[in-house]
Amino acid sequence: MLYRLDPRTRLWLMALIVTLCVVGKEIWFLASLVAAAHLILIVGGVSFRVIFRTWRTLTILLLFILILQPLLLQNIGEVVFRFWRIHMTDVGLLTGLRYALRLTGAAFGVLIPLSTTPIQKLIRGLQKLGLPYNWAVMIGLAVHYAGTIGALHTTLREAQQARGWDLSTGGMIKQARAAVPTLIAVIIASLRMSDSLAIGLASRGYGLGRGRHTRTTLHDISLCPSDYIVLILSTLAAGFCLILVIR
Amino acid sequence: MITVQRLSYEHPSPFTKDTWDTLFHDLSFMVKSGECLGIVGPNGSGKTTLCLTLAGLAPRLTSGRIQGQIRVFDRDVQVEPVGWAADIIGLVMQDLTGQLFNETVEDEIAWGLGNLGLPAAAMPDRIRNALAAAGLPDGLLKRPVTDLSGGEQKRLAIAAALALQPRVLILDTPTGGLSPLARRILQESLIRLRRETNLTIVLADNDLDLLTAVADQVLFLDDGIIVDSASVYDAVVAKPYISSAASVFSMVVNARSDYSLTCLTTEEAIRQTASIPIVGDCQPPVAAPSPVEAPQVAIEVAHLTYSYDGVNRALEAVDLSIPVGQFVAILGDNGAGKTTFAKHLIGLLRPQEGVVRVMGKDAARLSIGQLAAQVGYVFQNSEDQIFSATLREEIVFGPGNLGFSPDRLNHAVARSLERFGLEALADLPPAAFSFSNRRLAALSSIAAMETPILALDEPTVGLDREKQALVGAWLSEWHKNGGTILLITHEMDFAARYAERVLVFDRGRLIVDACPEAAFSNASALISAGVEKPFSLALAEALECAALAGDLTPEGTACFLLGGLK
Repeated sequence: MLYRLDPRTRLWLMALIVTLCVVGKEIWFLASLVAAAHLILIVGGVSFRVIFRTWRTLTILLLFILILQPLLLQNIGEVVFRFWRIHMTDVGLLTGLRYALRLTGAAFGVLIPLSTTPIQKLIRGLQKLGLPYNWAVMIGLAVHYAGTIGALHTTLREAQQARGWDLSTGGMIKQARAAVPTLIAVIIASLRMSDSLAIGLASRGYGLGRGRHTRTTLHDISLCPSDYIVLILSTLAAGFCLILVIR
Repeated sequence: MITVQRLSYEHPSPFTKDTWDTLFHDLSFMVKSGECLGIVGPNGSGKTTLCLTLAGLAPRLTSGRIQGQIRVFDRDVQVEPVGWAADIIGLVMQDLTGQLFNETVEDEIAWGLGNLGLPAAAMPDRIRNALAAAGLPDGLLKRPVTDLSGGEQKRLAIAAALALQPRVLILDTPTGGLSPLARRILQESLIRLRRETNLTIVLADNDLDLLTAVADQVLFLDDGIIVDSASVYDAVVAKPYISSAASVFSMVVNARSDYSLTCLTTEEAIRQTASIPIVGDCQPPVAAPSPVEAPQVAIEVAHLTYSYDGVNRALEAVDLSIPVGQFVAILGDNGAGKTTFAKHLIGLLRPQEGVVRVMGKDAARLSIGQLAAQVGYVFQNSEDQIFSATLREEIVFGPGNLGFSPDRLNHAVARSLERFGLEALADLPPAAFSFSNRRLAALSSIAAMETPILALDEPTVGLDREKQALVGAWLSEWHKNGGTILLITHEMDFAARYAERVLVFDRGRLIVDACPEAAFSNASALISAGVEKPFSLALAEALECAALAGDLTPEGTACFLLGGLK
């Protein structure tokens, strides 16, 4: 269903979820937003594989937040438990959980338009929202190549492992160190890819329209009744949530 | 029309400050409207750079400086703004990652048309015509680009360029990484394109079968000479890097100057040798008896099945056993399941059904790190996987992880550098190497791991014949020393020359498992799997001379022909 909506509607859904994640403070509210984003993605036809991959990407970041926040806020709130010189307080733990939920909600909110919109439609949607064409192309290509670079990262990581770099043992520090060679290879390959992209774009007339004619598109986008229904209902729901949060 | 006058190209040396390296020097040539120019040359001779320079994109979007002049239909391409030529010059690059970035085939072709400002109503016709010209069916219009095979993606890139109705089409190594079947379809598309349009084509590729079928004249970039298609043999024969047929027949002609065989392609070789009586023994050679002793098994695969999406099977019930010390070539069309099979050997994929045993141990119970001590795995595009500050550090990475002692480590690194002729580059950053040296660096880093088994996924793609011979020599030596080798390749002559057993995959199933002579004689299986016969075998069949098939190496073929040409 999501795939049939206008890209602007999907971008609006993303904006609402991200905004509510930023203003929301209650754990139950943020958890509900994460659940709502998942519901929209699943009902919208996004595969479980994409959702699982996003969770896997977020895991290390979420772990950092969940561990680091309680460590930074050791002196605020009631101590829940002690380990050696470390005090875990209720405030620290809840703050970590809050930030983790915020990040998760925002990430899955962003996934709504990005995982369901072809690059041409995304560019057209951003353009119709008033973004200059070059900016829209830049965002569209960045989204596309983020996936390509992600796949490249997986291959490079596999290539390092195939040369005996064993990641199945060792702690977090070893895991972090192991990421360095892979990241260097990703950066080098990404730079080559960007050179290749610049040539690919120029050879097919990117930027040519500026001097000679207006750029055209094969399939233009337009808002249809289902878009208006989703826009109205989602805005009402978000407004209700905002009132709830502010009160 | 393309006119090039005294063109030279230099690029900054990646290793020495303020130094410029010459790529090509003082080139002058002309390609008339509707003609096709082929460009050949060894790795690093500047084929890609020349293509980009002709399109007006190098050195402006790359690094370097040029001298001389290029005029395309009376316009100086180096003076016009970048991108001006999109509707005059179509460019299809070797690496398609920067060229195909849209969701569907239709969107991909429409992208360029939108840049030119073509009204939406006029686009569908242009898109359909471009698809047809590139030899792709209409039914692919809504197909995701990522679902296309390698050959289809190449033809899509050509369609995207043709949709802009250019007057010149520049193709950089269009056959790179394609299976023989995909190469043949691409060749047919280009022949049809030449027949039906007045397009001027520049075709940089070392596939002489393609060039002699499509090009009117050929530019040899290493020495700057340009010859018409009838004289290509004389230019090629002294160059060991491009043609199996030419290398075989140059050996024959060198030994017997009374024969004027000038064959570049398999077809020509068959035609010319057909008129010569072969008086040698045309009976097949008697095979030596197999050793009775049961060999130790390196790899055992039982009922291996794997699916990426749970619906389509990338591998289906594969059973085989590979003894220690065997050299096995794995063949098949793009997407046949070859890489999926190989990834199971190093534990990057785990069997969904069935078992894979490596040196007697269940691979599913071993970590990738543990399997890496047994299997040296060379990935596709291995040249993109290097990351160290120097080549020496890059080579040390693998053996260091495997816990080599300092003495063994030093010896392995020195041996590996020497084997690939990379000693002079040992302390330089490999990321700045040319494509072929980066590939050799990646191979040398696996060679230094000294594993008993090697699995190589298309290690020779993009390498010229000289560099291929270097890889072949390494594999031969490895094999002689008792190493087990699994080689995935689309180079049939390379497979026939080195392998003692051939596996052919077709849509996830293992359909042929035999010695090369028997495997390449199985015509129906080869057609189904999109695999072609190697040159020597095609010649043997055409001459109805089974003995010729007894030794599929170029030396063996030449030797046999010399014995037979009385």
